[in-house]
Amino acid sequence: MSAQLPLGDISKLAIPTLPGMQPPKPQPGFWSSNPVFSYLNDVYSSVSEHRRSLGLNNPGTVEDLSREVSRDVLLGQYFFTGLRADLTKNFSTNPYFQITHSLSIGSQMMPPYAFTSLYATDDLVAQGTLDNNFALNGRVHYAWSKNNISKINSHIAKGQPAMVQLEQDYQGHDFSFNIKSLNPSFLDNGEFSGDVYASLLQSISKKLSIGIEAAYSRQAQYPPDAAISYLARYNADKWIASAQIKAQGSVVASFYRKVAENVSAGIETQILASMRPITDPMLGQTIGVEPVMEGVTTIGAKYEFRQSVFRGQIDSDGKVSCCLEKKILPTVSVLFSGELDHLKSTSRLGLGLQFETAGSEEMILRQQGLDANGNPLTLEQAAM
Amino acid sequence: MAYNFSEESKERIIKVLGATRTMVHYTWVPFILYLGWKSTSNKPNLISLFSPLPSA
Amino acid sequence: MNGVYGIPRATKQEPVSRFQKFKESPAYPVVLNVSLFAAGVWFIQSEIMDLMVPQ
Repeated sequence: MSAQLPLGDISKLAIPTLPGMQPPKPQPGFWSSNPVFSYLNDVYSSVSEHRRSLGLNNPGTVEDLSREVSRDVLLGQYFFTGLRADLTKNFSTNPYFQITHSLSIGSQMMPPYAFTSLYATDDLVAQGTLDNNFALNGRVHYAWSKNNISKINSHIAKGQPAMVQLEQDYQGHDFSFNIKSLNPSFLDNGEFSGDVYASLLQSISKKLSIGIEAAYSRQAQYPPDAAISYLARYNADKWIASAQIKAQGSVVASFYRKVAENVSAGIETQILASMRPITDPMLGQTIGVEPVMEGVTTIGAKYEFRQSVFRGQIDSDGKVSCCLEKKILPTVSVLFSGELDHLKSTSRLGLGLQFETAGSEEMILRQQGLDANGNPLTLEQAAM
Repeated sequence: MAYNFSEESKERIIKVLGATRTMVHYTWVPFILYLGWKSTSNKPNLISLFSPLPSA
Repeated sequence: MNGVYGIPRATKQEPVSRFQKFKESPAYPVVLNVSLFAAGVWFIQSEIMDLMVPQ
């Protein structure tokens, strides 16, 4: 039955918030000619007309509110410890298909061995990772249209409850809406259990966008919990500032600047308020709570060179860390990451190698900078 | 928003979910490999699909 | 901490300086990080950052 659902046609629906879409003229009839509805229709079309005349852009997703700093300039996910090797084999570029064997020693985060397969077309991304304990991390993204993407993330491991996250991402003409749910279930006496997050980010001028995120969480046997977070992002072309006030009592502010073509710098401050129980020094009992504030500020820069990328950062806890990625051959990259904790006098090191091999004739030619017919690749083709 | 399932149907749903989970766990990666294998021009054999060594 | 709970102090408490008091208050990490952020933004926007671009 699902084959008949015209789901792929959502893009053809006239949604006035989609870029380049005109709302259809209301057909004269009872629903549009009676005074109440024609008034509402007029208001609706003049509002959407006005919104378009403001020339606002889509503000990007809530998840990416501070992507320039937290995902690009600062080390974050690039940092690793121990030794690792990634052996990637590319089979084709359109659709994109590759497999990766990852080996790792001495890391708390990465499993000793993992196998990843990735398949991607213009509207579908499917990825699966199995590690040496046979735990699966799976991911599917399906784009119904350029603006409407469904995502499923799942983690399944033996002897553990499965984790499933369903997500719908909608990017309108001047706003982004996202709703996601973690482990939703109605089996607990017919009541909902799980977590739901809904967020809306709206451009209110060409540079400023503000947003709100609501979280609702209910687990069996616990009372439900709801929270609201506020978001703001200011993009002034040369620099970008963002701030989040989270309901759990934390504030995150970030600032980014593209200093030059190949250099960018960023700073991020997190301040977290929490309650700490006070213990009676004599009896060892809890006699009350006191507010505790914790904060950390991290400043960093990213340098891109022809064959390498360098990231360095320093934070207010006295940690200095850097990450270097260098292509030593077209198919081999070396990764280095290091961290020095000056307050605790400890350090962490990571060293890695990335190999890329070809699984087809086409990919071998591509590695030599040629397309399938043996002609040199254009820049756009090479970037693919 | 309360759906009241009977004990029986609840058990059945849990069973179906458990079976789905097991199925996804064991077939997801092979399924992606099949999708990819189908899309490649040279249809690599199993060994070259898994081996990290170049093959063409 | 002090004599509220009737714990006898073995030694006489050292007078706490105002800075020490401020350092222990919850406002300290807030003020510190806000000023670090402001200083960092100023640094990134300043010409020193432009000088750090490799030629």
